[in-house]
Amino acid sequence: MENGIQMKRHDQSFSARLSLNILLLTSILFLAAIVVAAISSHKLIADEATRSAQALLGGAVSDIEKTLSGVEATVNGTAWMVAEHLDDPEYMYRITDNIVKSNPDIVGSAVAFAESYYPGRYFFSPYSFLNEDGELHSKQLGTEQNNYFQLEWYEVPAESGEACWSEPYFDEGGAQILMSTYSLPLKDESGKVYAVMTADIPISWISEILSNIKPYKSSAVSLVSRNGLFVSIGPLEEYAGKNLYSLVDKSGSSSGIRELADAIMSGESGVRRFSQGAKISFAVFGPLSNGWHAYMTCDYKEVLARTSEMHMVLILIGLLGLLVLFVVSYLTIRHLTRPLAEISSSALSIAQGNFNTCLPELRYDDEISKLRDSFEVMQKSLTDYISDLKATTAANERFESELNIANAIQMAMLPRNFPHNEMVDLHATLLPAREVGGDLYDFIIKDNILYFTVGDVSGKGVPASMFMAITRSAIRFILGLGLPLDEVVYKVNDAFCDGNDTGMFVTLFLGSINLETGEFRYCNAGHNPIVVNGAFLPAVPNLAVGIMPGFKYKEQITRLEKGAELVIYTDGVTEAERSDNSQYGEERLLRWAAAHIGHGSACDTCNTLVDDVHAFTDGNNQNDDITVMTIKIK
Amino acid sequence: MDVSIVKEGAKTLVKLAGRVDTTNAEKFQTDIAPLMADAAPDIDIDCSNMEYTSSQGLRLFLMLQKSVSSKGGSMVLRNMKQQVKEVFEITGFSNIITII
Repeated sequence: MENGIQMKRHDQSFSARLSLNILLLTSILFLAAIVVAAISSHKLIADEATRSAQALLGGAVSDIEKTLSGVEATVNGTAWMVAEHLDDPEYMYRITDNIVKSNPDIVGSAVAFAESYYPGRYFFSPYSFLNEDGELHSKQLGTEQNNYFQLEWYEVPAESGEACWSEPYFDEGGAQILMSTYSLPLKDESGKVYAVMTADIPISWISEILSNIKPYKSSAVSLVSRNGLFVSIGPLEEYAGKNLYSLVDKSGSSSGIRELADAIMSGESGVRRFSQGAKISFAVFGPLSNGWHAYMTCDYKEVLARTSEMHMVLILIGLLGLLVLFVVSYLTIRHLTRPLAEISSSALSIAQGNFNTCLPELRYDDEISKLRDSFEVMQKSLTDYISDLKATTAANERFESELNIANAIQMAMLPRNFPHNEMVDLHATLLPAREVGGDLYDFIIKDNILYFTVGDVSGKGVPASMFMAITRSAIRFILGLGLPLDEVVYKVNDAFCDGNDTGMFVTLFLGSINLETGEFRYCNAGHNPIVVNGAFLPAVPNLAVGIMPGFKYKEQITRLEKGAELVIYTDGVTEAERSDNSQYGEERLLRWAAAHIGHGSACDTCNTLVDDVHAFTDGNNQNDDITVMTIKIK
Repeated sequence: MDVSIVKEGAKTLVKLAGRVDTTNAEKFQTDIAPLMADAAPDIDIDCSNMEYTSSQGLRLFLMLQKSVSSKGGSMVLRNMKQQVKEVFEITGFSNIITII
């Protein structure tokens, strides 16, 4: 039993194990849900971030375009005044003053006339600008050192005849800042460009607009000009005025940046991913109406940081939920299985013999309740069975004790005072197969005559023992009458047959030895032949006693010499069986006699025969009473 | 112990096989009970396959003989093996039971 307990693998309660299993399964499902949610939310948030970046960029672009078109409108709307006052060159200063004053975004404006438009004036370019302190000044821009005909803001529109925005440049001649210039070519009736009218805007305000667009901390909006020069580059001020591709060259092995630059410069709008080392980013980009390009970069890590936060919250909620689930399921299961524990403890109590132990009353009619009812039935059956068993055992004990008393009475009937004197040595032993048996022996010495008998009632046990008692008493009584042996047996037979309806019979050997003369009279009533000096004594079989009333038994007479040795026995000896049903038999008996007769006392001889029989049966159950009587004549 | 009983006209043929001993004497008694109930039986018992009989068996043969005799019938035991026959002879049963 101790081993059985040790072999149990876990010292865990049923409820704990079940709860853990539920918890395990739920955790797996929860993890799977988290993974799916993470994957889909990543994609969702990335898409959302892209869309929102595009929208923000679009908003910024439209803000910038609004300002640019305001500048364009101011210049375009004032151009007629130049044509109106061509005859008054000094008036031009008033026009440029007005332009700067009328639009707060404009920091400088010029009307640059073609070479020698006014005779004697090779350069003529009235220019109004706000200085660093915001005060309005005017001057004539063109000099030998500042040959504006070769500057982009003049040259490009003058040649193409189209209005345009210049590349960003550092204005050394005027406001001393980084600026871009809108140039509107003015044409005479023949279509010839006679002047270029300009408005300057500082790049800084564009940067300001752009720097306000910050969906993420690391995101940056950049603006590049038609030719790929940075107009504004968010936080990377040092790239201002440089080419977009210089960034590409610097990025080295990073992937996707050149493709991004190509896409930006192609004038399309869209989204592209690129990476710089481990950092993966995306950029949204789009063109402005003046030929410039805006793009915004965002770091994925930062974009997805929010999802990571969300996942952490999700996991925390999940863990909390799992904990609650475990506690609730553990408590519920423990509550539900508590009757099991109670039944178990009751069952243990019953098993320890307390049959009156009450089983717990259960509230619900469920499987546990059925188990309890089965236990109750078992308890009742056990109680009944044990009570029956007690009654049976008591009856058996009573019966057994009565049998023991019967055995004592029967054994007391058999004489134990064996004669060991100078004339005769006699010994006898009787081993019943059960408590009481049907074998008998008796002897008596009267007037130097030894009367002896050995008998065997058919069957064994209580019925045989009763007949044995009758037979033994009858022989004693009738022997006392002093009749010849055949008469004795005749009378015993008659007494026995009277009222014997059961067919019981007794085989009997009755003998008398005159110890002085050696005369041996005997009558064999169907008994086994006796052994005299190692050989069977020939005997008329007669008939067993109790079979036929009035049967005439025959007495036989012979003479025994001094030293003669007789062995009288019952068929319990010759028919003693081994487990293979082979019997001890008469031949073995004679072999035993040859080996042992003539040595030792009657008692020794008697014992050696019993030992020999037991050696032969080798522990096999004795199936019949065994009786041996040995007599030595001296 | 095997007992087979066949009726052949007025005669009853019985075949005995095996041993009659303490363990099966009661069964033997039950087996031969129909023979005792028969009104006027002439019983012919083949003992060629009978191995052994204890005194309890002898008692039952005796009761059967008494039953048959009381109804004016006859009983014959045939082909008995020597070791079985000896038991009948020793006890003197051969005096009152016909063994051929």
